[in-house]
Amino acid sequence: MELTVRELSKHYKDKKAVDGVSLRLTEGINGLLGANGAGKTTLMRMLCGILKPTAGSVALDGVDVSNEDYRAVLGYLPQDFGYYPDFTGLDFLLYLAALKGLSRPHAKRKSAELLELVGLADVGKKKIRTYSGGMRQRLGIAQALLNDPRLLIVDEPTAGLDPKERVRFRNLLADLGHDSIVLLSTHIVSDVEHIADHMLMMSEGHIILDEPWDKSRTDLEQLYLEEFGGEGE
Amino acid sequence: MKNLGTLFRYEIKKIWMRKLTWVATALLVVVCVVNASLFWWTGRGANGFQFTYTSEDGTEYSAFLTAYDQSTREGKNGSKLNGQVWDEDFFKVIHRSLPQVGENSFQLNSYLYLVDPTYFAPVDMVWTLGLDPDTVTAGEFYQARRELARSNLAGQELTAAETSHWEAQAKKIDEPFTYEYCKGAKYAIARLQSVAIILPFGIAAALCGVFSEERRDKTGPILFVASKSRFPLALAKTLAGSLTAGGIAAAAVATTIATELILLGGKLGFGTPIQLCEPQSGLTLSVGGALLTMSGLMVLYSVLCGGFVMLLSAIGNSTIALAISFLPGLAMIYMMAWGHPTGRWPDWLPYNLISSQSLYNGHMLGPLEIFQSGAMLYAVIAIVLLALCWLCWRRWAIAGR
Repeated sequence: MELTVRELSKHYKDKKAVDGVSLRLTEGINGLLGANGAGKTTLMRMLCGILKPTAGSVALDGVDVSNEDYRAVLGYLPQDFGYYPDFTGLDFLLYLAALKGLSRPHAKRKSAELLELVGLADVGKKKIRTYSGGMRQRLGIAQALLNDPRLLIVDEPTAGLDPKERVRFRNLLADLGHDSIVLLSTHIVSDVEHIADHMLMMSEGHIILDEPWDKSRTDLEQLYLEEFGGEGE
Repeated sequence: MKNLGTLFRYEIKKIWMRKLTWVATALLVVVCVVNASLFWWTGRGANGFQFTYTSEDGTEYSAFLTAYDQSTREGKNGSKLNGQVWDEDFFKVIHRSLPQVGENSFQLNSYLYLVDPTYFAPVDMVWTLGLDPDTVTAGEFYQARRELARSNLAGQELTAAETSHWEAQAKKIDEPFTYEYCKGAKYAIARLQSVAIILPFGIAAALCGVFSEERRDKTGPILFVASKSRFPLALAKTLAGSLTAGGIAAAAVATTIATELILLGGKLGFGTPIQLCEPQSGLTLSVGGALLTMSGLMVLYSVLCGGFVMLLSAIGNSTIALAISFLPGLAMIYMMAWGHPTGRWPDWLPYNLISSQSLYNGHMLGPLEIFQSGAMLYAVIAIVLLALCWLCWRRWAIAGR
């Protein structure tokens, strides 16, 4: 399984948000580090097919991002995770499951499983407005997993979470990278340094680091500081 | 189109989760109750008339009756004639039952209000046709009604095709009429006109977020990535919005009709010919048929309004901007309502069509009568607006802006 990105660019009037990015990603956790404004979110939105690139292509095993079959195996948790505050967690998952084409019995079973997985089973029938920030993020990852995605894209998933929730979230993601491509974007080094199998670093719309990552390495923070001058931590 | 039913259910839920939807609907229902009961409230005031009647044996009856009192007395005995056929025998019974007061209509009116209101409805109708209740025959009654209908059509400057159509229709009207007390239904028909004016407010409040909420609450990215195809979601939104608009219209219409029926005698009178409400009408409709037709038009009109509101919400994402852009449309409706009675504005506009005047309107659109053409027109415009909703929303959804 391979996600292939070729010469992907997004240019606005006076800014090149993403400029000629080429990547090949395989199964495992792929960390994408970059300071705020580096172009990570723009890149991820193009990888999800919700933002049209100015140039370039994205394909998963040869299936183009614009193809329905691509979306069928894609899971996405955006940076600003929007939700319906008056829906219950369970209703929210069932609604998105319907959008993803899951049958009603399958959707019910899968939603219950995922609520259990992310530790929200006991609050599944409570309205989302009563959830904490961490609980909402976990609900976000649950919705991204509804269709058993082969490609999971999560954008700054730990933003706004307390340290305990961050660790919990990180462990959850680490488990998901065994048989799917997980692309995890963050500007916090500790989110990815011990779970990533492959490390990408992005600055001013360009990929400046693209290499397999040894989880025992301890110089990621140093690399990051050299590039971004401590903007992330 | 998998899971369309589930998506539709959740879209309905999203619309009705908004407090504004509930507030707008509740407010609309209250306004409909007030609008339908205006007569009941204002008729109780000091304005009225002193009625006096002296019977043949010299007994004097006198009372000051407000408009409300008069209406109550009409209604109290109005249903006594239910089921009676207005044939020659019926008019003979009227002659025998009414006092001989000559041409003194005040005396007869006073008799009907103060002594026995049973024959109020036929006498009132006979007077409307310019006849004398003491001598009128069934033949004269129906002839006068046909003349009234003809002169009404002649005043509308119809084409030859329209005139021949209505002449043919007139022959289909069943005579003699079988009566049912129908004042509540008659008032309900009259009140629907004002409901058509206030309805767009409720629809706008309820549906202003249907296609714009994803932009406001940032759920768009998740929804668009989740859906294999965006069409079922757009269709579910469109159907949910249309059903809500139709439901709100149905609630407003039902409230109006129910209020009138409760306040004005409680008898439906749906089976009686429309000519007993509007004698100049050439339609082969019953009162119930007319109410049902207008209610149906109102629902279609509300779907059209819903389509317009949803289109605005698909184009922009600001509720305030939506409200502002909706105002010119509403202003036009008000201009139609207050500034330009039927004649200067096209007949098929809601204010003219959903009104008692449309029951004797002779204008046609091609081969279609005014109700048929109105229904077709509203349905077609609604479908076009709903299709445009999809196109505008799709443009935004795919571009990811």
